[in-house]
Amino acid sequence: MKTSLILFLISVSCAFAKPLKVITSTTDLAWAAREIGKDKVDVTALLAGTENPHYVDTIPEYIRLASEADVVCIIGLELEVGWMPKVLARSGNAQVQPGGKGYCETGKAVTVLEKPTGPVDRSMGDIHVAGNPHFWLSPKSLTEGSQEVLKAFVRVDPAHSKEFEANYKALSTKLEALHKTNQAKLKPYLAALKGPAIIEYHKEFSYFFYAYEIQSLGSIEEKPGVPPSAGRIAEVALTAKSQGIKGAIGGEYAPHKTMERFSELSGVKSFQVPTSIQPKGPWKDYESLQTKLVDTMIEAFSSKSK
Amino acid sequence: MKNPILVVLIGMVFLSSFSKAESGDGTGLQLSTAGDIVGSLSKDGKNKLEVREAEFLVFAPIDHYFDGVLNLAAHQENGAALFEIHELTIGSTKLIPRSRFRVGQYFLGIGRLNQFHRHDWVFTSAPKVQSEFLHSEGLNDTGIEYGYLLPIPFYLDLTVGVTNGWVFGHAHTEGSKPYFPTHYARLATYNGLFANGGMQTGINYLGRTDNQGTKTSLFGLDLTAKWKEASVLKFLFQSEGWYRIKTPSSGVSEGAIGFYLFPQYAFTSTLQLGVRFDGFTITTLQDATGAQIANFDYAMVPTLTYKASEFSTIRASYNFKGTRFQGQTINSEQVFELQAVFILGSHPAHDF
Repeated sequence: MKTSLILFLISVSCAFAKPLKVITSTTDLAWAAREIGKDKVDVTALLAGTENPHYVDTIPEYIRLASEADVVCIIGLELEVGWMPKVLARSGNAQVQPGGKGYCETGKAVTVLEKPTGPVDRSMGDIHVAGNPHFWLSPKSLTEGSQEVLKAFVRVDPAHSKEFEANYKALSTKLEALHKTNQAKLKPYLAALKGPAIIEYHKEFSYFFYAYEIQSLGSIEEKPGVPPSAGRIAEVALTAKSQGIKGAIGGEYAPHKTMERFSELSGVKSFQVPTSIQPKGPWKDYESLQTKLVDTMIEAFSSKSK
Repeated sequence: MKNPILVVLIGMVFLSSFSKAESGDGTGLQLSTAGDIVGSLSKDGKNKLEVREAEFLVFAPIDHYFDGVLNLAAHQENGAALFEIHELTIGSTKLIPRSRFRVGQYFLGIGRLNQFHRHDWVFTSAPKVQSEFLHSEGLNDTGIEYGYLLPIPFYLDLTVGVTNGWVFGHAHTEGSKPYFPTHYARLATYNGLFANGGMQTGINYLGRTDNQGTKTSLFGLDLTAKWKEASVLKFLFQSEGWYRIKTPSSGVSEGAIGFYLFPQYAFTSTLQLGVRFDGFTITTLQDATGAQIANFDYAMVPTLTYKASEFSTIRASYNFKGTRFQGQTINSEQVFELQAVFILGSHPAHDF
């Protein structure tokens, strides 16, 4: 009788247990966290998906949200280095600060691309010594990074670890299927290409290109994070023209005038696309974001250079 | 510190700490160096370019609870470069929920300018309200500061602190034991503005009674608004207003009000233009008959800033200052300033 009562009380308390409060830096991580946590988590992304995540201020509201969080997940790889350390420190919440059980840095689990070898200094621009942090545009890399989300959820709420693990597996399967579908869509266009067909403004599509075996000419930026000079734009436009590049791709926050100027000089059409899920915009989930990017690639591959 | 040997020793400590940090020895030790070079040109000024400040900052977690900060600055004072401790603190953001505290020597957590090192300001020189009421370099002292984020559905952050108060402002003497030490508080809140902007507002209080029994009370309001467009801080508005009342143990109280307003617009990610408007008046100035004397110090400072990155700044500003007394301008001055700032090494993330 006693045992039944205890079990009943535990099950009642579990049923009414509050979901974990989860804060993520980006909307893409928020989406992954919701997929893993389902109804056991209440997830809020600090960013809206429209910002350049490199250049964000330490907004006091972020501090308040972090102060109440059970788990904070970030991209890492120095993406949020200019603002997130201050947000976490000022929150006064030891659990979500580095070393705390609710701190989760997803970049740690990712097979990193473009990690610089050899000496690095700031004359080379905004170089990330840990490697390119824009991994979430690759379904495979997002699956890898989400392992850290799973680990954090299990650490903080071990009672639901089996559910989290099952949800992670489902997420992994879902992302793999999405990748296969998109790969099949792109295959006939990629097969018709010889050599690189795309150039990017900033190297934030590297993981996406790698996932779908798209060859890129490189970036319009000469140095990461440094606006290209008129000479650089002209030089790279000439190269793009001579190599028959089909499209130039940049984030929505990439400088529009620079992209336009590049198109004028090269005759290559430019595309400014979302680089994150935008819950208040048309790209509300990861599938729609991936579809948008893949469709943009197909449009670029189908276009004829002027 | 004028002893060159000590300077060299400190330099060696820094170099060794830098190499350790770079080698990834697991201490998390980070080093930052800031250089601030300022030149001024005016009719009756010194008209020279000089190193205003060189700053060395070391910060790291001490252990799983505490963080340490050491900030040494060499700066020009009366033609000599003085090397001194600006900040040395041990603190924690992990020990007490929703709280942070620090113990040691630091710039007091009040107002806006006072919480930033001078090389990180959005203009070159301090407005009169800062230099008169706090200090042109910022008010630092040794004490204890505690911050608490209130558990309510919006951002409201309370900072309180007590420092020795033996000196007030910037001094190279021990000072003298005050009757009542320096104590202060700041309550800050934040409101989002449209989709890409926000505004932080703080109300401030500081009090101290010196060893002569003169009681000083400062009441301030600071406001910072930012609006971003893509990666660019398109518009910035920064302002502080302070009221000071000084009451001697015997005699008449003196009141003064000062403020500055600084709107700034960014043409590109690297080029910004701002204009600072300053005002300052002594509210209790009276003539022999007891009639109030109108007085007002003003300044207008257009400031053009070029920031190639967050680590380098070139700034030019034109200061037009004047004093009006009983309705007449009795003094005016025009100063052109040129500033170059650079930061080497790690630089900690900034507050809003």
